[in-house]
Amino acid sequence: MGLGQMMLSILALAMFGRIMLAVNTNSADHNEAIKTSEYLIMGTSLGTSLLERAQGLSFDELTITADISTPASLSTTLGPEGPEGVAGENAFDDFDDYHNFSKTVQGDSIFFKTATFTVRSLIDYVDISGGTIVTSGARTYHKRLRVIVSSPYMEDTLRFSTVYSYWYFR
Amino acid sequence: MGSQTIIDLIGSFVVFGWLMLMGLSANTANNENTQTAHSNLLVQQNLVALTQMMEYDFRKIGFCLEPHRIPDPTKAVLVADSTRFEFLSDVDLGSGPDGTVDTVRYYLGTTGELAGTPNPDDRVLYRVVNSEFPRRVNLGVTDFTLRYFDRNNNTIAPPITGALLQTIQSVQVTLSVENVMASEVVETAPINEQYTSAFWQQRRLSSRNYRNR
Repeated sequence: MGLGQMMLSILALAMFGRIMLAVNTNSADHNEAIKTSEYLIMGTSLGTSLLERAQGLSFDELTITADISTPASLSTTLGPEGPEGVAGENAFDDFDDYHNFSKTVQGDSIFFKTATFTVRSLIDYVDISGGTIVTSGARTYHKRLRVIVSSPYMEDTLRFSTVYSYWYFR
Repeated sequence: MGSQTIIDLIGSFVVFGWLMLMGLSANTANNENTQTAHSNLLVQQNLVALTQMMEYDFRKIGFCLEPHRIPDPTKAVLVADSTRFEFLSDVDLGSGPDGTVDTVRYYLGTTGELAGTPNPDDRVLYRVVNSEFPRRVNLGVTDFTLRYFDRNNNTIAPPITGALLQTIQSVQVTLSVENVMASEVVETAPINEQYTSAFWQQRRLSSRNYRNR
């Protein structure tokens, strides 16, 4: 085999190797996209679950057993009160107990067939200003819950938010 | 033809054969991957279709456009079992709520109903509104499990009947969907058929205006 033929053979092998690499990369990208969309579905579900659970609670610690007639009567400090913070999510009894809340949902191949997620949430009093929802320095009848879901298996962080308002009628 | 030429020819044939084998195996692997990707896409589309439907329905548990027709939303849940859920609502897909109370039932069929499909675990998830005829749409559901919680977040063990139904504050739905056809079959004994699957779990309130103050 002459030098020219040898060079051509090496070039052909290099080209073939490059094609094989491209095929494998393509395949790996496919699998990654599939897994990512699975995790996005589950992450969305976790965020929605937290929104649902929070909205099933009372608006404020001070509205659990009584009604209030002015926003000034609402809690000044947001977050779990006393032992609720230690006992965890199952002990929460009002919406703003989810302020500065964080939990890790462990992925399990049998009972929870997905990745491990971290769910965090924040609450603030909000008001409407210029057609947009803005954080209010004063207490109002509206609280906003922001949920952040992330996972080491996802590049993107999912964010959800909802506004929960106080209403009570007899 | 000299001996060197013959050696070159033999060598080139060997290299060609080797490259050919590599190309064929790459093509086979690529085809398998494409099939698995399509299978996964189908499963995820089925899962999303189901979850959208359930999220829509479950959000409206105890809701009616004419509120006086469901005066006590705590009585909106009629049947609560691990694979069966029945509730009052006002759902009319497409046209929207019409002020008439509807009874919505979700329940899981048996594997025997889909004995004709390759997947031995798939079942039909029925969604029946009022007295309509239960339609069978096979979306590859292999698990549909419901858990119920009271206002203190304690699990209520099914079957839940009578006054206990009114204590349900939230429902956790777990759904697994698999492809009805195996995406990969390992033909060594025992034959192992692998089905692409997707999983979903969510907590929903049983009634949005329950205990809100």
